[in-house]
Amino acid sequence: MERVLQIENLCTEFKTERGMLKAVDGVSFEVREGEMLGIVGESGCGKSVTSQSILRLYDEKSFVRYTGDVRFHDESLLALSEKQMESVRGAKISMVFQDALSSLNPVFTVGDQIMEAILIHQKRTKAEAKEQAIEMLNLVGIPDPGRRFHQYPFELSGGMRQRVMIAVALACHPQLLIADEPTTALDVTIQAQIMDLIVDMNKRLGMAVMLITHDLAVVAETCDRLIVMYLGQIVEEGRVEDIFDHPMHPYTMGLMNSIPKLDTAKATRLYQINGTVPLLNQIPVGCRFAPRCPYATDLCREEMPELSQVSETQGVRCHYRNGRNGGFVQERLEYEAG
Amino acid sequence: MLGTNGSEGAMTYTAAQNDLSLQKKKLAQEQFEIRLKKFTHNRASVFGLAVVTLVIVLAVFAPLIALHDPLAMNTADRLKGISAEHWFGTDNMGRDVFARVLYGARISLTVGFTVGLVSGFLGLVIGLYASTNKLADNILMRVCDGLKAIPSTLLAITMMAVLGADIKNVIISLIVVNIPNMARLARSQALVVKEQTYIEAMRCLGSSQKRILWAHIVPNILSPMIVQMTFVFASAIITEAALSFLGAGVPAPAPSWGNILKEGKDVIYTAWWMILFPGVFTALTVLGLNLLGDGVRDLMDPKSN
Repeated sequence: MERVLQIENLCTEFKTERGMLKAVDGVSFEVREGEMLGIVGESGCGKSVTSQSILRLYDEKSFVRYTGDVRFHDESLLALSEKQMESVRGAKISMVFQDALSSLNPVFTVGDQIMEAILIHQKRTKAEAKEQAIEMLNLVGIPDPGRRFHQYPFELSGGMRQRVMIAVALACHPQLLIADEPTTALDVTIQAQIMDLIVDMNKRLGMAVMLITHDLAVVAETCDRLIVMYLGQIVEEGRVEDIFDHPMHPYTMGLMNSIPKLDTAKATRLYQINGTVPLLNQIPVGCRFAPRCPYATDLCREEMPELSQVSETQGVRCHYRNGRNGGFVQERLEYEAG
Repeated sequence: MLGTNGSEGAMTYTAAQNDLSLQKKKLAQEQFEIRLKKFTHNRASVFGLAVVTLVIVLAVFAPLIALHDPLAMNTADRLKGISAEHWFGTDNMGRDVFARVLYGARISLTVGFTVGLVSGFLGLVIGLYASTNKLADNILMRVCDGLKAIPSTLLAITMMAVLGADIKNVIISLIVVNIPNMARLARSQALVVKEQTYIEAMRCLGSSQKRILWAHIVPNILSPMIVQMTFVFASAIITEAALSFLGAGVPAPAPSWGNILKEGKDVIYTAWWMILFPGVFTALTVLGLNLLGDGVRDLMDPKSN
């Protein structure tokens, strides 16, 4: 399949009073045509920054420095001018945010906001744009789109608003949709509906989706491939089945073990990964996960492991990926059994 | 290209479209009715609107309502009390106080309205510019701080001293005095709105910075600006009266409320009507504008419906 987006060694650094902080550090991956790619990790691991870096949403004059390469088809996005970037945003790559409640401008009607996207990027008359906007509302499953078109965001429910956001994002038929925790602010039944809608759009429009989430269950159900991020780096990547079948990185294993299971005995403490994500100015020298890793050795604390392939479809950033020294694999098996 | 339910969808929205303009009209009508109801429900703001309208009508039709020329002196009729001929009495030069108060309303309203509108607009532009550019922000806001450090009446008097006594200069100096507040309000509101997710969402859609600023940020900060403008309108009337009272405002024969008060001050024990009527008019107009401003604030907030 053809690549839609290819990211090579992307670094995103923020200028702060305490110097440059690297929120994304050497991330490389690709998104293929029509696929659903999941990116998971705890808060602060750089998943949102990665996605916002793709669209270059941060203020580059004073705030942020990007290095590496982000290629959309054959176009290097980091080399584009702001003006050229504007013609990419919304038309070729769109984004849906976590907080649907505040993602719509309160002083404009729903229809105005969908029309805005169309009028910016496509040469349409207002009447055509309106027709197209109503078509979009219909497409994302909003009943009575003709009436909804004239309503203000505060007149819609949370789930409706997220549907409208998706309609806005898809109005110009982008080739890539970045969904940054699109369901976090919604209740469980609505979450399922919105995810179904995104999957449906992915299938029907053949549009690639980058799904950023911390919900592994959602990833398991919807995505083709998965990237696990920790502290600005990719620690594991691969096909969803492979990673769920045999996670190789202790962090991924930790995340999976953190999902409570229905058959867990009541008295059992829920699993947790010890410690918290370190601040960006306190990044450990060796493996970034070492301070929280139950299997860490001196090697881990001194030397940063590379991300390397363990099979054709799975890569992991761990010194003990191949069970070198035996200990890790053995322990891992014991751990899974217990 | 939109997939399987295209034909079914097409039917839905053609049907919807026939109904669209009608629905839009109905919705707008409903919205308007709700808002009107809300406004009329608030008695204070209705009172404010009534007072302000009355003063405006009196000012506009002053030549028809007042029987006398506000500038015509009649030394025989000096300091006469209330009568059928002179409803508000006469002043120390025998001029009709009623006519002077009505013509004074023209001056006060002109000054207040112009100052509110112009300082609001300039404040908006300055505030928006400051919100987008750090260096400009620092410079503009320090200038505003400097202007705000000086008491506004004092600053206005100083400017009048430099510019010379003229109604045009009263307006200019009051605009200068009021810009810092408006600019600060616009800037702070713009900074809040700028951080909202929907602005980021608009950037994600490919809106240019300029478009985001004018088409998305401005409508969101307009309602506090308009409310603030009504208050500036009111305070400009007071400051203008104060300036005239101090002799640094509209030059003498012109019948501004402040001028009438100033002339009445020397004869306050013999001719109370010279103080009472312009004073009451000033107070009522300002009160009316403030109440109206409150009503407008409630009206402008789309979420409060």
